[in-house]
Amino acid sequence: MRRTASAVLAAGLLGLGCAASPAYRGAAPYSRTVTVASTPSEPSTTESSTGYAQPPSTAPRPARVDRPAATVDLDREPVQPAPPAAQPGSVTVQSLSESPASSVQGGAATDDGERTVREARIGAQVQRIREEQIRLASNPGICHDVCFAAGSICLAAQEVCRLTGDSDARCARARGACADAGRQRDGSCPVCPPTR
Amino acid sequence: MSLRFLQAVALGVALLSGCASQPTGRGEAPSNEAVMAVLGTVRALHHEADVFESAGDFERASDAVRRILALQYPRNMAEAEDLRADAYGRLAELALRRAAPDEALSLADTGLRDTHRESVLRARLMMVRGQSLGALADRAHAAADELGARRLREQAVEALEASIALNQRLLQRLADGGAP
Repeated sequence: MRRTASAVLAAGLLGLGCAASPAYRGAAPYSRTVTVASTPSEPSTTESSTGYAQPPSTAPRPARVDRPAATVDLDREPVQPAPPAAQPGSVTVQSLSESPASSVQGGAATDDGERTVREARIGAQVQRIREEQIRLASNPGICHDVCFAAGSICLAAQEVCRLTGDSDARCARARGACADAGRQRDGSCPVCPPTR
Repeated sequence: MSLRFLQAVALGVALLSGCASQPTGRGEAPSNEAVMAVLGTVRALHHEADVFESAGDFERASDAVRRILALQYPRNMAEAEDLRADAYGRLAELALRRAAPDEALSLADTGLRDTHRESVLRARLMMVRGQSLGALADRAHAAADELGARRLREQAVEALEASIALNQRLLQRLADGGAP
């Protein structure tokens, strides 16, 4: 029990020390952004929730929260847009855009039942994401390590590419490792613990 | 002091309350009070380093981190290795920021000798080693020592690839539900 308590405290302390490292502070495989795809007349907004820098050598693949298509039957109530991630941090919510009838085209009437089902499905997904965030937030030690390791991989990849040149096979392999680490991190830790 | 730390302290105190009266002898874990005192001191010194580092005073930030390494850790304190590895890693990074790659390389190598457990902290030391060798390769190149530059560059990439490989293993272990 004492070791567990010490480990908890050590994790907090190492969170401070490691967090000062560029591996945690300055680089993330992908930017922790949520891009809200707006209708053409609206400006797009990009939020960087935790201040992670984007390594120049990696292409960002921001999580997208797609609003329903703009072609909406005007006779119907406007479809409620999917809420952006309520918690800070990146949330991959592809399933929101995959929900059936997210695009209502040609003025075809969709009955209220279908809309209710769709909204319930979206609500369930949002709820699942929030529950997952709460679960992960209760275990910041693991997510600290995941985020730190992923950040370190990308920093190392950046340096490998600087030393070998972008066209070198070792650079390509390192970049691949960075991309894999980013996917792994996004899958297990949608929100990295704060660095302070 | 961060909220997370206060929560951790509260949790730690709650967990410790059940076993605070256990005796401590040779070969046993150190007392709770000793561990708490060391962890609190390390945290304070990292904070001090943060303040100096954010002001661009890398020398004094390094002094604060060196004091972590100079601490007397209780015998058999399981966390001591990680605390030292973290300090060596940060010190080496600060040396790199002071454009002192020789010193950074030496600190990273010392930290690697002092650390045996596979951890993100060991991977970070490997990465700083690679960065230091990369900086030394740049220096050799600037001095028209192409042979030396090529050799150092190769060593740097090897160290960086070793760091990547270790972090990949750790990520896999975490994904499998194990400790890193």
